[in-house]
Amino acid sequence: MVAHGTIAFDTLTTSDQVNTGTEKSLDTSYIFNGVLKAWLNLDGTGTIGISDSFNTASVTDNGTGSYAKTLSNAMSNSLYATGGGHNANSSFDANGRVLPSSTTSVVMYAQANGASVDASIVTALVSGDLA
Amino acid sequence: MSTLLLNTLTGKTSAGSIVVTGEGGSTTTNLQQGLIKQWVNLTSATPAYKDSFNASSVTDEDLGKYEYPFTNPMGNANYSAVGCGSTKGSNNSYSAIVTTGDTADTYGLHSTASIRFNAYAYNGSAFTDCDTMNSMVSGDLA
Repeated sequence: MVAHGTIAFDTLTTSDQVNTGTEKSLDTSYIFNGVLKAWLNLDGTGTIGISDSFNTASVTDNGTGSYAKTLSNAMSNSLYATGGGHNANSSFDANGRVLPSSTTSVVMYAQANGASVDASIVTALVSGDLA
Repeated sequence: MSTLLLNTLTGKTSAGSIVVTGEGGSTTTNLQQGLIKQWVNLTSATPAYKDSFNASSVTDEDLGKYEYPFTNPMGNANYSAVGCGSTKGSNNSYSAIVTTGDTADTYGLHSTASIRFNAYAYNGSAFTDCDTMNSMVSGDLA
């Protein structure tokens, strides 16, 4: 079906000219299941601010090294996968965690040398099922 | 079942924006924004990529510090990244923490041209090589 800028299809075949040059096919299930549903680059120092993001409605400062991100478009459940971290602007012993909180919220924690710290680059990636 | 054979996907209204219907069948998401722009599986002692995408030759900055140039650069330095590392052998008990660099380049680069990842042994309080060091970058391509 081709109408109004929409193409419905099940398999995408490409020459993969950018990476390997070898023709490959991809079931479109991998496209909508595989694309990230949200990502974030947050400045978590001082008055926190979003440096750049996708599918992010707002961010909240929950205290030193503790942040929350609200999704613009919700996930279908809270069983999605997250990843992220933070930069080493105070110590290389930097331990960042990103966890699902609800269908619309992700929490992020930044630690260095075992203590909570504010970091100038806090990152979060979200994959899973959109509602 | 239908198959579409092509080399390039380009948005009709906006070249860099294609909408994909989500798993729920109604909410849409943006294909370009959701794609991983670089991924790397590195063995860091050499160092060498085991496999990678959109990463040109790795630079060995120092023990536990590696810079991955983008083959195709990012549009800005405000992209999102994640990494993790694992060690074995003499460092079997270590869990490697992988951090990214920063825009000021104080602790490594986080720029449109490349990103640096630092591997730090959690239990050893020292930089470390990793048998496997994985990373992914999302954000805006130039």
